[in-house]
Amino acid sequence: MIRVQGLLIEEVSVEINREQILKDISFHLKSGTITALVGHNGAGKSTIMKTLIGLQERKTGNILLNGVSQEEDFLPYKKMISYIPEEPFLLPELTAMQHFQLYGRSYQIDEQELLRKVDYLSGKMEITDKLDEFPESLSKGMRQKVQTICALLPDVPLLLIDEPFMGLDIYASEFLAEAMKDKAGQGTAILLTSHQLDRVQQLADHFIMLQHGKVADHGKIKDFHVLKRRFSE
Amino acid sequence: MNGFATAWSVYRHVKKHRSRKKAKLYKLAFGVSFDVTISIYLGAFIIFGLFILHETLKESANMILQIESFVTANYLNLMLVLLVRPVVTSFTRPGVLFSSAELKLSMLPFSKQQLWQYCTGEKILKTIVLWTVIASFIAFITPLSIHFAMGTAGLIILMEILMALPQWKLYQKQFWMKLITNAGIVVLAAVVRLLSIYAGDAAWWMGGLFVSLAGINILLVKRATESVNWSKVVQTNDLIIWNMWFINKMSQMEIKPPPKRGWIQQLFTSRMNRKRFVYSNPVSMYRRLWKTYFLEQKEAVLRTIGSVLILLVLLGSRNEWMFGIGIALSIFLYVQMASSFFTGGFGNRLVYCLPWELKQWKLAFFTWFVRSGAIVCLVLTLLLLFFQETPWWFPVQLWFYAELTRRYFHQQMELTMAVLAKSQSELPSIQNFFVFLLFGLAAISIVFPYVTILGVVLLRWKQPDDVLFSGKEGKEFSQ
Repeated sequence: MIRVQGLLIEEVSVEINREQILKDISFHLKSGTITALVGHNGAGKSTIMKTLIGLQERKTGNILLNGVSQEEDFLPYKKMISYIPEEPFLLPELTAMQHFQLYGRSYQIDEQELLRKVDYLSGKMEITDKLDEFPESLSKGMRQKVQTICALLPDVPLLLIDEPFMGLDIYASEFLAEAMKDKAGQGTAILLTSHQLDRVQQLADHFIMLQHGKVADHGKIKDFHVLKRRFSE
Repeated sequence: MNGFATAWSVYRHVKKHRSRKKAKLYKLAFGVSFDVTISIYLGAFIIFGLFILHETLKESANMILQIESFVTANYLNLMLVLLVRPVVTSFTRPGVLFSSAELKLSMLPFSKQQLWQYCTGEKILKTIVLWTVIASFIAFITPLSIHFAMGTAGLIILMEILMALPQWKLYQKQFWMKLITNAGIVVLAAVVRLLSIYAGDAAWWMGGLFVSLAGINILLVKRATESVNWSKVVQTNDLIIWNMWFINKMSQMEIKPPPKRGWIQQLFTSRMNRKRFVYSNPVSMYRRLWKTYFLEQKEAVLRTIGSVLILLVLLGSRNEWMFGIGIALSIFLYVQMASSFFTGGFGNRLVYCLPWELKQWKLAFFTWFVRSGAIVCLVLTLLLLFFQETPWWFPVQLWFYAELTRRYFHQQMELTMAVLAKSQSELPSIQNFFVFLLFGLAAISIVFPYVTILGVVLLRWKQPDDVLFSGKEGKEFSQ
């Protein structure tokens, strides 16, 4: 059997409260590519993200990452994904460093490797003085930085980013953009959603446009011109 | 509504819509929970229930009439209880249901004081209607006289009205002020009760209390909306208004107050808890996460331990057969609830997104399982010493029960972890049979204590691949 590299989504449908949110979504993200998931509000972008993580149950369809099925090998599948949510959801009982340790343990990162990465990423994100702080004493932007570092710690085949620059200052945003390019260079497939289309166009090499829970268009980012409006044909 | 709506018309408009929304929610919840068949059965049960109640009450007419004379003779005591109750309640409830809707209206050109008066008026009206209906119903179905029922309802209504304002004002005060007032009121009630025995008619004391309360109300009424913590009031009242028991049960959603930064928060943010975890031994990290989860779920945890203890005590005190069955049931219930808590621990969004080291999570969970189990074990030891004819068996029995609990916990956790990992996992029938046999031995272990030796031997002989103590290095969950 040939293992398809990257993320393969086949005929995925999602229903929430009997309302169909995603309708037979299919696409393929190749390793080492950055794909922008664009669409109007309520098009289903965040639902796709949640479905890929497993936070949202799907009604039909298959999700495979490097040939590993989300349905059949849930934990090995999860170990190949990391996720930056739109809003930080840190645990109030853990400090920033303890969050990094939790991620490190979960993704089985070697201790020395973890410390090296934390040192590098926290320096770039300018939070070295906040490592032993609890989330409640951090600003929203700081919390988002901690959440971003958590997701950048493991080297995984798929990185999901919901609104990557939300809450980050200009320097952190620039660093994140660079980090994304580095990750893609190392073979990570990146799927990101954003309403900042000009920024996305500079960063991504492919796009998938959603409209009412369906893939309305997809292709190379240079072919992307106009975002379809919610009520346009 | 025209552009010159009065505060009253706007207030009524809001209340009308609130009632409609609540009615709609109840209709939805009833639609979910009752179909035609259930409704017919329920209706029939209610009718039969009322007939049975009526007959029972008729048969106990003498006793009920004794209650009437007892309550009549103790009206002063009832009044004192009705005096203390709102003062105690003032710790958590403002009494007058001034909600966020009224607060928003007060930001428009409508007087806050006027809106507060409407809320108070509504409370008074509802109290009068509610107690009049209750009194009429009681007088109708019981041999109690209408005069007595209405008189008692009148006293309750009057006290509710007179205490509404003091409760409202007291709610706004600091904790220590409430504490002092509470102590003062309890002492006052005790003094009044004592003096009424030696001096004067109870009616005079009641009259005196009414006059005093009326005076306090007159003094407070003008300052009712002064020095009020409106955000605290509306937060509490919104919770009271929209926390509808039936809707919560049907929708399986509970409205919870926003978390307070109290002692629990301090517990986590202390200097000691800032220390980094020992990376090679992540159990302490996962133990911390379980601790938070259990604190969040403290009511359910206490309910579980309480249920197990009640089961043990109730069945343990009957006879030796029931005691044995009680022990087997308790172990079963305790482990089943533990596995349900284990699943719940992964509900947090951040935790859910991680590729879990399930064995380490389980190891950390097990330490809490043992700690809470120690309480059950203590009670069980006392029961074994008191309620069985041959108490000297208790060390072997306890050893067997602990080992059985551990074995069953291990088995259930394997299944729960398989469900979490979405992997196919079925226990071999022989293992199921083995556990079933051990539970059987536990059930007869009080009547035939020597079977516990057999149980211990069996547990030693058939050891599964134990993951609980297989190193602390945190191997990956094996599929």
